[in-house]
Amino acid sequence: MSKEYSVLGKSEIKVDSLEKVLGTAKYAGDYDMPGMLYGGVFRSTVPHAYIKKLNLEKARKMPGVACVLDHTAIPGINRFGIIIKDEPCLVDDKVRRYGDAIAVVAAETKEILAEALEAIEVEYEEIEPIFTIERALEEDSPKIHGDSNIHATKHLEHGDVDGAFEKFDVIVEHEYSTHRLSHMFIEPDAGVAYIDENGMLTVVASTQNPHYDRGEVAKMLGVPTNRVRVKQATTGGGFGGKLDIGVQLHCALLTYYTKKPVKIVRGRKESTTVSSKRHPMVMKAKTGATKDGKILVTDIFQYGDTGAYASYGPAVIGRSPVHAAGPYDVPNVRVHAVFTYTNNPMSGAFRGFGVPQAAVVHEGQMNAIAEKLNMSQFDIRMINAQTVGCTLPTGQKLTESVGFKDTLTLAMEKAREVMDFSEGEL
Amino acid sequence: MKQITIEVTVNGTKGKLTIDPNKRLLDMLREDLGLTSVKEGCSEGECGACTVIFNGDPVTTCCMLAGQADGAEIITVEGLAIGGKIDPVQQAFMEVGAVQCGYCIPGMLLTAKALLMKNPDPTDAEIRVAMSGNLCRCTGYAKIHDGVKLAAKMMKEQQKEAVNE
Amino acid sequence: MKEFDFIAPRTVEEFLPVLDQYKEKAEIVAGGTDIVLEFNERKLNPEVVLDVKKLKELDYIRVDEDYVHIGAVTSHATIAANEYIKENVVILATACGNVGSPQIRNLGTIGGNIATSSVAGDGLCAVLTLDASVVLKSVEGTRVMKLSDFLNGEGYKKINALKANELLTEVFFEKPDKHTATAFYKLGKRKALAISMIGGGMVVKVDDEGICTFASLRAGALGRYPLQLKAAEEFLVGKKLTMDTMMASLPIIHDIVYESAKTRPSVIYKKEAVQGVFHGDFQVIEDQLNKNMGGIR
Repeated sequence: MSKEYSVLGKSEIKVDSLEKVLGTAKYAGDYDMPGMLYGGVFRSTVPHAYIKKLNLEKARKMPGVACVLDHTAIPGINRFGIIIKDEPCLVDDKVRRYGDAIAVVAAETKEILAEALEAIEVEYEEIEPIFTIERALEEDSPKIHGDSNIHATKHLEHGDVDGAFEKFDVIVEHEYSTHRLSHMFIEPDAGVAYIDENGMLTVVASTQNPHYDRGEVAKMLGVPTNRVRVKQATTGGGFGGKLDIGVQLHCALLTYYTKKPVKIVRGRKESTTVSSKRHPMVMKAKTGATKDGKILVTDIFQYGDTGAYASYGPAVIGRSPVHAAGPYDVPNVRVHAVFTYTNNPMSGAFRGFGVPQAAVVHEGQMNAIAEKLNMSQFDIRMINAQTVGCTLPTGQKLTESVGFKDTLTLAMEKAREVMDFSEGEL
Repeated sequence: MKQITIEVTVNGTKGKLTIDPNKRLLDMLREDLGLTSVKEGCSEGECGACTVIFNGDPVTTCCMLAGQADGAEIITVEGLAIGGKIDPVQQAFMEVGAVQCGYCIPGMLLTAKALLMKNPDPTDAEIRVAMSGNLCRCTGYAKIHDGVKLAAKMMKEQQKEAVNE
Repeated sequence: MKEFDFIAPRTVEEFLPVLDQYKEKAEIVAGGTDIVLEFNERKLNPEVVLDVKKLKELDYIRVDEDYVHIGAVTSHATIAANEYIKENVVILATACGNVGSPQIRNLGTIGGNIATSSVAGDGLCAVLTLDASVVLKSVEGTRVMKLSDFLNGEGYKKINALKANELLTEVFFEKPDKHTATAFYKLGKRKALAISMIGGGMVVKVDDEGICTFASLRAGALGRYPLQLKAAEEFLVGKKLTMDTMMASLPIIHDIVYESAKTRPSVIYKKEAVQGVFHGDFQVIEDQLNKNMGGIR
C-alpha cells in the first residue's frame, strides 16, 4: 500500500475479545436470576397431523410445575414469521413438521421440567406427510398451508432466450440437486424472559434479530411494542440460523403468566431439529454456447424446498434467480423458480441466501461446456467473465469496479505455483 | 437419593461440596460453582466447548458425573488469569484474532493450555492433534492454530525474563 | 437426569459386594463418554451408579513373560502413549490413539470400550484381533474367558457374557514377539471426532523364512461385533507374507464383507472401502516386518 492510513491496513484487537477470553462474556444460557424457572417445549413427534387430544393435566398437577400452556393461553396473535406469518407459537390447527411446538412448561428445576414434559399426553390423527417437492406439487397431495403447496414463484427473463437457442453450436443440459444443511452454530438457542423493575417484559436471547423478535413477542402477547424489550445476549454463532425467532416467544409467554423469570435453553438435538436449514434445491439447466466457448443463453428451473414454514424463503427465492447466471456475461437468461412447502424442517436464511445453490449450477454448466469443447476450465471462464460495460440479467449495467477477471488471473497464477498441473490444466 | 460430599480443588481453591449426584460435572461447575465460562455445545463429547483441565488433562465435562470429580484438581478459564494478569494463551488468542463468537474459546484456551503445560514447544502437527477435539464454527481454525503458536512463544519469552530477573 | 445414588468404592474388594447388592439396579460408570450421555437423556435410569474410575488398582499396563495385561480403567490416552504398546502392539496404540478426540481419550477406558461392546469400538476391535481374554470378577469368584466368547455370551444385558454382579477388571493378550506384526486402520468421516465406519485390525506371525504361521483379521463396525475375515486369514497362512500376497487377499476380503452386509445399502461403499482399509494395514505390517526381521522379500 502506497499511502499510510491511520486505521486502514492495521490490525486491531476486537473490542469484545477480552471478555470472551476471560470467560466473563454472558451468553443467554449463563443468566441466572432469583426465582428463575426453567422452561421447556413439548414438541410433536410426527410430521403432519391433527391433534385429537392433548392432556396437560398430569403435568400441571406435578409439584414444582409452575405453568403448563397450550395455544389457548396465547393472548394475542398465534402466528409469526420473519416475512410471512405462517408459524404458530403453539400449534392450534395442525402439526406441520416433526418438532412443532405444542405446549410449554415452566418448572422449578430442570429435572421437574423433564418429568413434566414426559407427563404430557397427545393423540394425533396423522395426515400424509409430504417430504419431496414432486409430491408437494401434485394436485392430489394434502395441502400444508391454505389451498396450494406453492410457497412462492419467481420468473426472470432477459434477452431472447428462445431465439438464442436457435443459434448455438453446443448445448449442455443437466439436472443438479443440493441438500439441506444445518448452520450448527456452536451455542444452541437460549433465552431468558423476565419483568424488569419498571414492569417491562424483557427477553434476553441468543439472536441475530432482536428488533424483529420484539415485534413478534408484542404481537403474540397482544401488547403494544413499547411494553416489550428484547436484548441480544452475547451470541454463539448464528450464520443466518438465529434470524428466525428461537426461544423468545415461549419464554415471554411463560413469564407473562408466571410473572417470574423463565429461562429456556435448547439442547443440541432440539436446536438442530427446529432451527432453519439451507434450502435443498433441484435445478435443471440448459445452456447454449458458440464453438469458441462464448455462452449465449441459459435456461434454468429452480425448485426449492422451504419446508413447513416460509421463514426467509421469500428472500431466498428472490436471490437465487438473480444469481443464476453467475458472474458471467450471458446475454439471454431465463430463470423460473418455484419453492414449495413440505413437512420437512423449515428452510430459511443461511449465508448466501440461495446463491451457493445457484453457483452449483452455473459452475457445473461451465465445466460441462468446457469439457464438450475440449477447452480449459480457466479459459472458458475468462471468455465469459463479466467486465465493465456488461448488463446483468436484472438489467443493471456494470459501470465500474468489476474485478472478476483480475481475481481469476491472480488465482490461476497462485494455483500454478502451488498445484501440480503435470497431467494437464483442468 | 442421597446427596454426596466431594472434595475438589477448583482454580487453586480446595473445598468440600455437597451436591445431588444426578448431575454432570458440567452442571456442577456452572450451577453450583457459577463457573459459566464452561459452555455446553453438544452434550455428547463432540464439540469440546465444555472442556476443563482435569488433573492436568483436557476432558469434556458433559461426559462426566459430578461425583467423579472427587479428589480432582480442575482448572477453568476463570482460573487462568491470576492476580489480574491474563495468561499468554488468552493474550495470544486476542492478538491473532482467534476469537469471534467466543463460545468455543474457553474450551480452546484450556486445551491449548493443557498442551503447553506438558509440551511447551509443540510442532504444528502436535498442535493440530491436541486441538482436534474442539470445534469452532466461525474461524476455520487457522487463527486458533496461530494463537497456540504465539502463546508458546510468549510463554518462552516470559520464562526467559523470569530467569533474567 | 433421574435420581440415583452414587457410590465410588476405592478398592475392588469394596466394590464387588456393593455391585452384588444392587446387581441390575446398578450401572457402572468408567470414563462415562457413552453412559453419562444416556443418563442425561433419561434413556438409562439406574437406581445406583457405581464409579470404577476411582479403582486405581485397575489402572495399569503390565508386561510379564508371556502376556500383556491392561487394567480395565486404563484410559485410551494412557494406552496410546505407553512406550511398550507403541513399540510392540501397534494395533492397540493406533486404535486407542484414534478414539474420538483427545478429551474423550483422556476419559474413555479400555474396559468401558469392551463392556459397552459397541459396534464401532476401536479398542474392542484391536484387542479382539489380538485374541485377548478378559477377567471378570464377582463376589462368587473370578472368570477368565476369551474375548470372542465374552462377546457371544448371554449375560444380563444380552450384549456380552457379563453377569449383573460382575466387574470386568482386566484384558490380557499374548505378548507379541519379533515374528509378530500388528496394525490398525480407522476409516472415519473425518480425521478427528469420528466414529469408525470401518476399523480394520490385523495381527500376523511369520517364521524365520517369512512364511505366515498365523493371521487374525477383523473389521470393526461391520457387524454386531468386529467381523472375523476367516477366509482371508486362511489364505495368508502358509504363504510367504509379501505385499503381493497380502494384496491378493483383498478380493477375498471384498467377498466376505459383501456377503455379511449385502442386505444393507451401505454395502456398495463398504465392500470397496474395506480394501483400502486393509491396504493401509498391509503397509504398516510390511514396515514392521522389515524392521523386525530385516525384510520379508
